[in-house]
Amino acid sequence: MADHTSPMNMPEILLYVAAFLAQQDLVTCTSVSRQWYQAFTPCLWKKFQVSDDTLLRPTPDILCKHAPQIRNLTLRTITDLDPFLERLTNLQTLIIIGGNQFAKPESWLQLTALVQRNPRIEWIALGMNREIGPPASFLRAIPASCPNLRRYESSLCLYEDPDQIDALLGIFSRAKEVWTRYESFAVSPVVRTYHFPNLVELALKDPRGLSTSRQVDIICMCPNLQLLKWAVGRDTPIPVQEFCERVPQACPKLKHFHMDGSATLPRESVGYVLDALKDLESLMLFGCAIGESLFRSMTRHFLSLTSLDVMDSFQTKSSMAQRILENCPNLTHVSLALLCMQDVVNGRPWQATRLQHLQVDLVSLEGACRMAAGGNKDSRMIPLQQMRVFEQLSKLPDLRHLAIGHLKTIRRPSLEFRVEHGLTLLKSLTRLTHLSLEGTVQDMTEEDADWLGQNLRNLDTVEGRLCSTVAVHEALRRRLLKEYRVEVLERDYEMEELSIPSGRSGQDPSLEELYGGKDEEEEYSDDDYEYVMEEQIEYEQATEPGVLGYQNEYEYAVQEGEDSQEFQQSGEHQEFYPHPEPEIIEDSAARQS
Amino acid sequence: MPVTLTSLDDVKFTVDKEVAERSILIKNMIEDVGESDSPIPLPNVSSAVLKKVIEYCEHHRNDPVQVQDETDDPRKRSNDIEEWDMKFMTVDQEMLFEIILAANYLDIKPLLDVGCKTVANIIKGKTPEEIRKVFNIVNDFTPEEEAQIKKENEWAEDR
Repeated sequence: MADHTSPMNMPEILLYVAAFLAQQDLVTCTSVSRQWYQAFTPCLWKKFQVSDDTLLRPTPDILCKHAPQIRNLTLRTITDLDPFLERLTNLQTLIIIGGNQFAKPESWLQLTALVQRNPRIEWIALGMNREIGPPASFLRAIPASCPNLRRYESSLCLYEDPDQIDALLGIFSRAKEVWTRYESFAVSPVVRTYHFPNLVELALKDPRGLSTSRQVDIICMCPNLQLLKWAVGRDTPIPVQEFCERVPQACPKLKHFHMDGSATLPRESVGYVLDALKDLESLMLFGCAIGESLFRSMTRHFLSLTSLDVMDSFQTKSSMAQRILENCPNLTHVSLALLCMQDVVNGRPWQATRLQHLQVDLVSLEGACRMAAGGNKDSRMIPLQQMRVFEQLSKLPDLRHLAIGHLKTIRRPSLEFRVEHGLTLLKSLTRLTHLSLEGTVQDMTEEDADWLGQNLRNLDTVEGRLCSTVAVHEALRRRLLKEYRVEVLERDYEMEELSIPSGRSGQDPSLEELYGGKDEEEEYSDDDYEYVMEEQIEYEQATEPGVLGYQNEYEYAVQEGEDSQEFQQSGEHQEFYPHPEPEIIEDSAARQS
Repeated sequence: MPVTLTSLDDVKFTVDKEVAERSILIKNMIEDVGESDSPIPLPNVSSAVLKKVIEYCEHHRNDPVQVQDETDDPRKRSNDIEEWDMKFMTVDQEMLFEIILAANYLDIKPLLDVGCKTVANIIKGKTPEEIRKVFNIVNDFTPEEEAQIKKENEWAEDR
């Protein structure tokens, strides 16, 4: 075949291949030949970030040369970038992150001009520092200049005048998706009826200074709303009755509901809300205490749910997790908390056979007892239990992502990925690409690693410690990478020693930290581990319900009720919520229910 | 309902209409011509390659037709190739390229996807020189150009 007909010489094919390559490979491809340079360079420059650090930045002439190729731009500063900014005309995504870098009014004039010369913008995201907010002129320019605006995200912005807020709500009138997070409203919006017919997704995460009643007003202005992500501030009650009376009527298409209770909602509130909403397809409850009555409200949605995330709620008993898996036939994505392996063995087969993504803290209490007793207590039971759990997992042929540990604890005995325990039963999981064993105790051998590599051909990454002996883990890691191209990742070992996980220190908050789904949460200390272990042993002998499922002292305290006041006052709970104490800015016409 | 396809080297293949219409090109041809017994000529595709393409379309005949993605995916995965497709693509490089060309010409997007993902997997982790060797590409840069490009793309290099 002559070279000139090779697809490797056809620009449109090279472009197609480029879409599947990571950045480093794109760099390599640009230096292969002149034709490849022409084909791959636009892909390489498609997504670009301007950092504060000028040393890491390409020179101005290089920036200007490639500006027209940039489609997705993150700006962390704006100084000395005029010629570059002027040549940006093809942006589809614009992300502006910083604080004081954008304090000067001139910066916003430049940013307004930037928006005006990029009519193809579909997605804008702002991340400030609560002391700065975009002026009204900038906010007005967005819907005026960008007819394709689809998504608007805003974090930690300050709104000080009514004109600004009106301009912000002008964006709500045009965008399909709006996410706001920890914004500060120094004044309340003018009392007026807006209409947001385009809004399909709305996230209101703790907007300070905006009363919850006003928030319900805004929600009710979205007749086509499908996804609502709502987080109320600490100690802020939600207007349950108003919500239940108005929202289902005003938003009949609401199918996806994510609630962040910040652990202070009365547990009945969320239950009433779930009772009022019909046939949810996706539900996420974060920081909510799921007792029996809230669980009952959840069961109303079991037949319609395709996605459920209760991983970061507490008091979720193992039996609840098992019931969810037994009774939700349409689930494709589920994140659960504790699930005891014995409950899987004793329970009914899971109806959730279409699962693609399963995250669950699978715990073997028998294994824990064995460890605590320092030897083999009733060791015959354990392999059988393991095999039965593997058997259940094998009935999920659509699985792409499986995580079986608790990401925030010290490793606990769980499902052991050993051939001799039934690992081979997972042969049916041909679509599995990602496996996380993080948080579990594993003792894998070469035979087990080989089995994974040879049989799960789409497996891309494995997370966790494959063996408690570091040397063995390292050897297995290298083998998986070399023979099977499976990457083994591990969280920083140091993270386990910390009592509070730290963000990446010394860097600006990244977009993930500003927009990431989960807030920072507590880590276990050695004392906690012993506490948990005792709980697990007690479970075996416990006859009363309610002992099971506590994942830390705080949850235990909430259950006990009267302890919770003490707990909060002791100041310990501050550790769980590392945001500074908010200044609640009251509405002048506060309508608290 | 059978349809006859004729390859570059005049070999005739009879397939079900449903299978043939995995190719948007063929689908459009059939719609334009209407119900007809006359075979559809494919002068750009040799019989060896057409045989492979038909094999793919037969296996995937019941797959849902992919909707065109309007939004640009930031980075598509190349490691989610089905087991059957992986075995199917275990061919020599010449055939791989022929399949890609055929999928492009016949407008069979899923097959083009799989082909290009396979090529992407070949490229991954290689140096420029290794890539040139595998695909038989000549390095037509001057040393100055090479240095210039390296400087230009420094920001994107993994540390």
